[in-house]
Parts: sequence; structure tokens; C-alpha cells
Amino acid sequence: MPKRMTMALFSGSIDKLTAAGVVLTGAAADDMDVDIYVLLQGARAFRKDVAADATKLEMAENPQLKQEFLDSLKKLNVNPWLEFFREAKELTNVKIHVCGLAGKIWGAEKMEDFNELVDDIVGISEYITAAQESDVHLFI
Amino acid sequence: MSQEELVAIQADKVVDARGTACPGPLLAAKKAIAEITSGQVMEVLSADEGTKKDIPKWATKKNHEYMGTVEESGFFKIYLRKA
Amino acid sequence: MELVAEEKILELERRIKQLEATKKKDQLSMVVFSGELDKLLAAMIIATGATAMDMEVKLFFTFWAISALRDKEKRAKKKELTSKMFGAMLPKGTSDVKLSKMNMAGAGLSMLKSLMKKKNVASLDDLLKTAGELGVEINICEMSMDLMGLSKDEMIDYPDLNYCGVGTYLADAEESAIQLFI
Repeated sequence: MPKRMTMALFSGSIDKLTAAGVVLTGAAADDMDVDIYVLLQGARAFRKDVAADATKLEMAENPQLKQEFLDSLKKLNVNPWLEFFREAKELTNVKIHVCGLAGKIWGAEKMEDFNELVDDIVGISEYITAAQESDVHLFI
Repeated sequence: MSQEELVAIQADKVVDARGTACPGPLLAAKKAIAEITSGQVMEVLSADEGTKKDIPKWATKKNHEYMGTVEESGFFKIYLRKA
Repeated sequence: MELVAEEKILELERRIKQLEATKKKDQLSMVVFSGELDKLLAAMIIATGATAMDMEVKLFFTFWAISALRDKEKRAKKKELTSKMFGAMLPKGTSDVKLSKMNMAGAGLSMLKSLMKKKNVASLDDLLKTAGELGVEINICEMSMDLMGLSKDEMIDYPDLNYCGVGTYLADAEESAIQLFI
């Protein structure tokens, strides 16, 4: 049976989303089943317009270094954050669930308001159940 | 396996992941190993130091045989035999 | 009769193997992402506390947290210009990292530090030293090192310091009873 990972993606900052993306592709390389629960700030990052434009996101730390950070990523050939999620979905069973309440807070209520990588809109109890059953559980 | 033996190996598949940083080489290895058959040998080229520890650990977990690593100038070659 | 017993033993052995494969080690694995003093303190207190509970502890330092592991006294030998610039803008070691909130241009920071001293709370330096003595393993994300323009020769001397990638972290995390991201 494949190992399971549950990731609560609370953060919507570009540095943490990048870290989450790296962890995610690592899980994909390991053929894990992954359930991502996109919570408060994360839901904004997955809103269609924001997901399309990385400059709309802030940094969690060292906001003054945003440009250097983005330049450095580019120089090292590291994917933009959303590409990590796309690639992981191609490689393994990754489901992206967005918290309905969080979406509403950012004015995104329907599936078409989110990036196409999002699988469904859910309530919080699904996250709790998934977290209980998984082998690796992270809150980012 | 000794360095001489490793260098003499003719890999069935060579994956050049030198242009990518972590997790690029790991993903390249995962994709490529699906394309060879059991018992065949794969060679992964990488310049990302972390990969040196990563790929052997991943391979062992997936039951592939980690044969060894050969240092070149500025990069290295990791040899794996598919389970 | 004998055959049945033998079959039962085989079945039991198979089940034990299965259980062993899924059983978690008494191990804590933690991604240390933040480079802010309060979060680093929390991370190191949990890490040293866990070893006191006889847990194995594996820390995976990525992104901003790596700055705290730079040695103030050491100089990196050669760097490209962009790496040099990025590196120069990041904190250099434990004495250089800031608070996440209430930093108030350093006033909050010095208040916290003096309070910690008064209340005999270990400093980040002490905690790192203790962690080293207790056998806490520190793994540094190689990709972040490149990203931030840091080099290995400017890192602190620490007993169990390794460089690796996300594959190593996940392998450790999967077998750990507790996983944290700080």
C-alpha cells in the first residue's frame, strides 16, 4: 500500500509555497498518495488570478529580499511554486482540496474561481480525518 | 563495488540531471527508472550535492540496488540497478 | 497437523513483517524553515526536549533557518557576485537572527534576550550546543544553500551536520512518530 501524506497548506507566501512544492515533489518521487488541504492564506494563492501571477504573493520572511529570492530561483532552474504542484500531480496521486470558508473569505466560491489544479472544495472535517490516517502530516 | 568496477559499467540508461537543483535529479531518476527493466543499470549525472545522499536513500527504499557513486570534476555519477 | 502449524507460523511472520514496515520509530522529524529567533528557539527547545524523552531527533534546515547556522567568525572562500550579495543581506549566525513579530527595530529583541537571561532560559547558541551533545542530527537542504548563496565553509562546527535533499527528509519523516514544520 502506498504511504500517505497530508499537507495542511495554511500559508500563501511564495517562500513557503516553494518549500511545500519541493516536499510535494519529493513525495511524488516516492509514489506517496498526497492530500493537500488548502487553508486560509493558501486559498488566496490558488485563486485563479493570483495563481497566474507570482508577484501578487508576499514572502513569509525577509520581504525585502523578494526580488533576490525570485532571481535566485530562476538562476538555479528551480520551478515557480505552482509548477511543483502540477508536476507532482502528473507523477502521483495528489488531490488538492480547498477549504470552502477560506475560499469565500477571498471571494472565490466556485471551482471556476480557482486554478485548474484544484480538485474540490471541502469542509474541515475531511482534513482532520485525513490527518489521522496519514503516515506524514505537515502543517505549512 | 570498487571505483574501477563502477567506471567500467555500461549503463542501460543515462540520465543527465546536471542542469537542475533538488528535487530535479530525484524526479528525473524516478521517471527514467520506469523506462528500464528489472536488472538493468541506470546512471544519473548530477551536480547537486544533496542528491548524493538522496538518490541512494530513495533507491534503497524502492528496493533498487544502489551500486555506488563516481566523482567527476564538478559533478558525479550515481549507479543504480533496477529491482 | 504439523503442516497447519507451519502455515500459521508463516502467516504470522508475514504479518509481523507487515507491521514492522508500517510501525513508526520513536523519532521526531522537523523541517526548520523559519529564520526568526522565536521560532528557532521553539524548534530547538522541542528538539532537545525530545532527546530528553529518548526520542531520535532529525532536523532538516531549509530556506531562512540556515542563516542561523552560519559561523560569524568564518569567511566563505569564493562566491559569485549574486550569491555574495544575497548572502550579505541574510543574518550571520545565532546572534544575528531577529524576532518574527514585535521586533520593534530591535527593542523587542533585546527585551526578549535580557528576559531570557534573567529567567535562565537557554540562548539559541546554548540550545544548539546542547542539541549537538545530545546527538540531534542536523541535515541542511543543499538546494536552499545554493538559493541563498551560502557555502559549506561558513557553517558552524556541529557534530552531526549533513547536507542532503528532500528525499532524505521524506524517508526520515515517514518513519517518524512526530513530524513538524516550523
